[in-house]
Amino acid sequence: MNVGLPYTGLGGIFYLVCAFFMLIVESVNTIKGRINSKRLGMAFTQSIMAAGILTTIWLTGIALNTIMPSENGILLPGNAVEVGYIKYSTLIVATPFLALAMLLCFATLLHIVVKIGKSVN
Amino acid sequence: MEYKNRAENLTVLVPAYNETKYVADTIKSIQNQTTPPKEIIVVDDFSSDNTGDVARSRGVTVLRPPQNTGSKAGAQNFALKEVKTKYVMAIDADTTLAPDAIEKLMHAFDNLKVAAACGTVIPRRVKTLWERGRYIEYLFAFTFYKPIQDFFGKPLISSGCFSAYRTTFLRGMGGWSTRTLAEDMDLTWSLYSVGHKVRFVPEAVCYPVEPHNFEFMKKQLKRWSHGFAQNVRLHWKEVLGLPYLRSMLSVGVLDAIIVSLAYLVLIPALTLIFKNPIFLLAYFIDLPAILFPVVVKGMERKELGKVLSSIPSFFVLRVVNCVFILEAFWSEFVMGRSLNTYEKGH
Repeated sequence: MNVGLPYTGLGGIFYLVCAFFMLIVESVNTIKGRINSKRLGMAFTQSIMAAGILTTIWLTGIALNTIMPSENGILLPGNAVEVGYIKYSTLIVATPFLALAMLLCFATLLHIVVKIGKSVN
Repeated sequence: MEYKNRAENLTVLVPAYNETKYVADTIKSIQNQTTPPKEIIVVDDFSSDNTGDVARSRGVTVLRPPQNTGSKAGAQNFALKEVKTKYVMAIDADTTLAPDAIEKLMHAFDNLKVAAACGTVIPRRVKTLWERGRYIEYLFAFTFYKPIQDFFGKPLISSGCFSAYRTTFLRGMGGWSTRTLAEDMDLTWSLYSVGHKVRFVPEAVCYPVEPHNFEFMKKQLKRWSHGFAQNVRLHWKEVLGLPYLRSMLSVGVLDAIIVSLAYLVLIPALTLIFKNPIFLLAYFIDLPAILFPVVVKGMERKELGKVLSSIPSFFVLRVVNCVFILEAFWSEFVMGRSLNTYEKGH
């Protein structure tokens, strides 16, 4: 069963991704011998917080799927139907992440354009 | 430098306009710090009440400009000229501090590149719908968002109600600019643009008075929303060159506009078009996600009951926020009408 991240806004997803990324950054630093216990503790804390948030979202999805009639169709990921090889539910979950990725790429592109513009002038 | 010595090289500025009700408590909380500052300067910004007399009775330096400076930034800049210490702190006149707030905050300046540091903000009074909504907002932001921002070296704002600065760096920026309504955001992003660092110290806690009714909340939200829009317009090119800040702001601006439109237009429209109230679930569907970090923080602070009873207010304030942010972006970017009048939130 897939549970999407509806209505939390891209900001929520951005910070959830950042929280897990903190753990990756500090794990790499620890492997390299650059141990900072305060930063490592903060990375763990925020990752646990993010995992808690994701868990509650998943449980919300389960609860809604249980109480809602299935004729609401694709409104919720768990009620989604298969369309060809792609489940709507997968699309619903993936869409916010894709939107975030596209937005960040756009911002980076804008930075490059502005930088080129400055160097030309 | 030991932290006690650092506070002994600190001047605290308290800009105040008609703050008779709160300024005495603010001064008392500063004087009773575990590491009290060298000097406290209250800027009585041409108040029409006896703010200056109340401050003087507490034994602090009181400066009164020849006329109202027009903003908090103006009042702080008026006093900045008198600062002779290595560090300077700005605290709102309605904000009290936890007893060790200054001691904890000054830890941030261990790093010589740090220009500013801010702490956790918790509303002092949590009674009305508006104060409760703000309480949950702050708990969520300071528990989840701000530590992440700090980890990546870019706290979004060094909060104007309680922040400390290296005096030379602050003077190098020309003090607090009056070109936007959110001088704290303007200063923070300006510090980043010249390579300085800003830190968030979660253990340093302050307690401001938040707007208790809609009339005051409206003024504050209007100021904050227009301030945000003004700073985006002013700093967007510099921000593009700072990767994490660029990402944060891209997401923040898009959320501000798209999510606000969804709450105010899309969800009501879908409800009416399909005649199905199920769409209204969208306003609350992230309730468990919001609950998790604020309940954790509430339990830590032994305020679980207050947290749970305040949650509904958060959802009201969130929708109200959307109205003001959309109005601000419409006014500042589309209509070209910039709001310049600084109105206090209480």
